Amino acid sequence: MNLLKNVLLGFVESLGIVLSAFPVTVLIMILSLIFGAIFGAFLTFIRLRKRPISYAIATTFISFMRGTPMLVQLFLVYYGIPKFLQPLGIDLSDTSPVIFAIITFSLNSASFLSEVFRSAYLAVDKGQQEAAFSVGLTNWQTVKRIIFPQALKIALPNIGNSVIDLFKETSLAYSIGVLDMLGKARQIIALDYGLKLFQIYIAVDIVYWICCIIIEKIMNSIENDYTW
Amino acid sequence: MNFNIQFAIQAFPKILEAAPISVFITVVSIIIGMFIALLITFVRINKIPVLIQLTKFFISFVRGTPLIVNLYILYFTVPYLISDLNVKMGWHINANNVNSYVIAIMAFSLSSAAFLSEIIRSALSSVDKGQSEAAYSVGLTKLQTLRRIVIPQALIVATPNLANIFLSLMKGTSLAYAVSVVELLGRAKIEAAEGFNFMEAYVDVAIIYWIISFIFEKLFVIYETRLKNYKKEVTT
Repeated sequence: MNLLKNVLLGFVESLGIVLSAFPVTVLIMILSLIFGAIFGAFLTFIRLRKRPISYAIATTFISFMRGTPMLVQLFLVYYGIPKFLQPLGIDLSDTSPVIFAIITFSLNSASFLSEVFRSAYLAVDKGQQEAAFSVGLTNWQTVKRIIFPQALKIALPNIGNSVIDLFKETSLAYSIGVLDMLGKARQIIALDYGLKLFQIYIAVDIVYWICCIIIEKIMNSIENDYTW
Repeated sequence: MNFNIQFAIQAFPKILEAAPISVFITVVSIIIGMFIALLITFVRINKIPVLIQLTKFFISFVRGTPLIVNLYILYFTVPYLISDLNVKMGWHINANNVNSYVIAIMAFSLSSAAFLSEIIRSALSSVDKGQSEAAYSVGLTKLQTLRRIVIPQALIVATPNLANIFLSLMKGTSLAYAVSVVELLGRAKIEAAEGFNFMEAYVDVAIIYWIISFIFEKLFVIYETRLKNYKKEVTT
């Protein structure tokens, strides 16, 4: 009985420690999502226009981001950008790793989101666009009033999946020294000589699990309520 | 910018040596995950009372937690479990020497099993129920219907998703370096450590991953095209 009480107390304490780093994870995820969506929309725009040079650059970039692991991308950005900017005289050795993490996650989610946007845009019936033109709407008006709302409805489930995937992938930021939930957990474990290892990792798991369930519920309610 | 091209070229074949290990881990994990996923699907189809709640919990848990955390948990708890089982069941497995490869494959198999079971479920339900009804009415057994009618059609729906899972697991094996498995990323770090040429090694390993992903992507597309052969119309 005493053992069970100790384990539970240790677990609650671990939960407290892990949750203290929760804001960092949320900050990284929300910023990456916003920048990723904006840049992803830009990439979709380039890929849909199909001007040869920009299309080739965008396609190569997306293929690279989707074909390489997140860890490798994190290391490339974290070590590469300072090294790249060094001859220009910009010293980045004092920048917090959080900035590099946000840059990497934004670029990565932009690639995945651009594919989601592109397939949703192409899934809208071409007749819609033709009808809009025949009534006299301009290009921009068609996209804004006719195509975009329908495409968004098609894209919402995939966007939800991408959001959940992004949330789970932010846990990898610990590898470049970001003190998000997993980073903080490993720091505490190292300081305690591995004493509360199991409880802390389980606490991290449970926080991620509950958050993913919440995100799923939110996305489901957005999908159900979405109308235009 | 002091990018050591010589080191990058020289280290490339050395890092490439670890590529088969990554592919091997991916393939084995997918195969084992497929077996587990079939078991899960069997439980869900036959609605076995207790196990079905367990599978729902398992799938929800695995899909909602990061792979790296589960990997760490397995890495630290499996030796304890084994020494526990050694005492209770009289085994004599050496718990201190559990190979990290085994633990990594365990974690990746469980993770892919959860996603694969969802794919199997959606693929099987996408085949029109009339197909199996017609098959039964002609006299085929359940197993024959599955093998000859349902599965070929389900495979077409399943293959793009299967390709996605395979490729994301391929990239996920890079996490195994955190539990000291020497696959691509681990090898890159080892090669880079001597002269601190980390940047060059990471560029090398990124290119290797990119090429491998590209090759497997194309292979899956070819496989899917072959599966769709039976749908081609006869031209007169």
